[in-house]
Amino acid sequence: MKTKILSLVALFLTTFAINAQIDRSKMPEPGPDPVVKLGKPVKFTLNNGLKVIMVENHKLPRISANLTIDNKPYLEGEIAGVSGMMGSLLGRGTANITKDKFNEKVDFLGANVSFFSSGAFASSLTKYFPEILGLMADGVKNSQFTQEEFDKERQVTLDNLKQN
Amino acid sequence: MKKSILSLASAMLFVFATNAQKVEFEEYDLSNGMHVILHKDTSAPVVITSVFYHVGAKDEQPGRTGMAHFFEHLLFEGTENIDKGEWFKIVSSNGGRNNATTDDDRTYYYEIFPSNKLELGLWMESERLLHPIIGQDGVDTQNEVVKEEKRLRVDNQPYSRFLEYVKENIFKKHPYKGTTIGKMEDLDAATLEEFLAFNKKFYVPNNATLVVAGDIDVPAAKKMIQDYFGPIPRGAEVEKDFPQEDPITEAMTAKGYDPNIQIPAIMAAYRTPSMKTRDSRVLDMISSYLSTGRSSVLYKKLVDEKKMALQAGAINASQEDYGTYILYGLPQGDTKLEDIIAEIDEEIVKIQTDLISEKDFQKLQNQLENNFVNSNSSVEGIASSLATYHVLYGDTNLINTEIDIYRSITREEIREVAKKYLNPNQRLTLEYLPEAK
Repeated sequence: MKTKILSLVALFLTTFAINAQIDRSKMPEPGPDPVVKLGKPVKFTLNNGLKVIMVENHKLPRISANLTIDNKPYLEGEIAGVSGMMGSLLGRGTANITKDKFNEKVDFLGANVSFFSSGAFASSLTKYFPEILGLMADGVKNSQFTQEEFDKERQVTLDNLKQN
Repeated sequence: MKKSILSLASAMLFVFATNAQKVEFEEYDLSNGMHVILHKDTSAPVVITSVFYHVGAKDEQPGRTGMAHFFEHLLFEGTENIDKGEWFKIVSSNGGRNNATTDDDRTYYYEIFPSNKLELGLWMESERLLHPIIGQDGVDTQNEVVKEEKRLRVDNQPYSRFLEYVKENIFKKHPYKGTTIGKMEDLDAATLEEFLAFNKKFYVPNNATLVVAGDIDVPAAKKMIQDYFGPIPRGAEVEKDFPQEDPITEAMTAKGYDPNIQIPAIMAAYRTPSMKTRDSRVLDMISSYLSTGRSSVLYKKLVDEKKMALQAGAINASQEDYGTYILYGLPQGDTKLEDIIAEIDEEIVKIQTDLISEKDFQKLQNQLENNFVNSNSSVEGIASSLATYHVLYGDTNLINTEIDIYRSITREEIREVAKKYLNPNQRLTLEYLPEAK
């Protein structure tokens, strides 16, 4: 008797499951609005005052670093464009490495390093990151501003102006 | 002592673990044969719903080139519950994005929504599969849309016809001999009955893979998937039986014309094996060696040093059944086309004779590894890779392990593969020339 009732209940439940079909004629209602969940960053300051923010994410074996120099806005006046050109000249040879060697190393490691007037960016596979971060730091701190690179950059900048 | 060995071992394990890529996913089949792949990533509150159909231009009937792509357009026309013209409005008014792409092997549809609208994405894709409305007015509308797309993307685009010339020469029997976009007369000839038959044959759950990726609650997503896709009836099995090509044993030459160019191009095209094979991956490495970046062999020699070419490179167009490997160059100044081919051949012979240097080999591996890792950097990219690896390669987990195949390729194999496939008697030499308008 008991089994019968149970199987009846089971039968009822399956029928119910089959009947509980969705209504396709209506567009589904959205759920509650999602919230953006950012991981908790680790923050610390180096002795020299550089603020560091680190966020861990191990989904892919790669790391990127972004350096932002908090320059106050200022008027370039008679030498408009100087900060842009300064940024372009970063990383074109430092006290420790020539420009060609620098580019070759970055290419060889399949990585990216770029510089601009308000900072720098680097990204690479995790295993090469120490080397790439080193190259980025070297470019930021020890870049040599040679006359040759300066002249080349000035010409390129002028050509770009003409093009636009 | 024992302890320090152990901790050393665990340190090594740790290093290994952090370097290995792990895209977690779960996959299963619905009872109607539809394959489902779920990937959870909560880093951003978005969700992608996509369906990958194993049908592309190669499944078209003779004389009906372009049908698969044309049909993709028809599946945006509306369904029994989504009125004509509403599809794109629903997507954008819900903060979403969507599109679809067709190639020779497959057709892929996707939407990206805020994660609380997963059900909406599933509803739309299930509507498209269950009961799309395919009518004569849709065929008439999309006929013009598709033809305009052909004019815009192919006919009026410089250097975009070479693929048509290469394919019709490289493939004699296999349907890869046609192009995905198709021919104007074929597009015009396609009838409503043919589209309905195409739908019935290929757009069945047992020929489809659904990917749901992003910020999802897995049990809830599974229930929704069952609700929306479970009741769709299974179709007849889709047979794939394409004619095999005979090997190319004698050099072929052809000329192709393009009214949109002024500078000609020369191409050497070889037929290569399926992208699933190890050899195809070796050819990928040879392409990178020859033409990725300014320090690559062909660029450095032909463009930089000898200034013979404006551009030179290699393309490994790999597909499910065969691949096409193309070397090309655009002459600079008065350089003759045959001189460019001679220079390129010289480099091929070097690869066939000597091993590439250890340093170039390491660089190649670094570049490949970097590309591989970055190709999985967005949830959108992961969704498409998961579906591609499952359907076309037959192993979803290649998303994590394909790089191991590339890593295991040796310098000797690079030499052997170059010897096996890249010989002058196995290729088409195509002169791609300007045509007076």
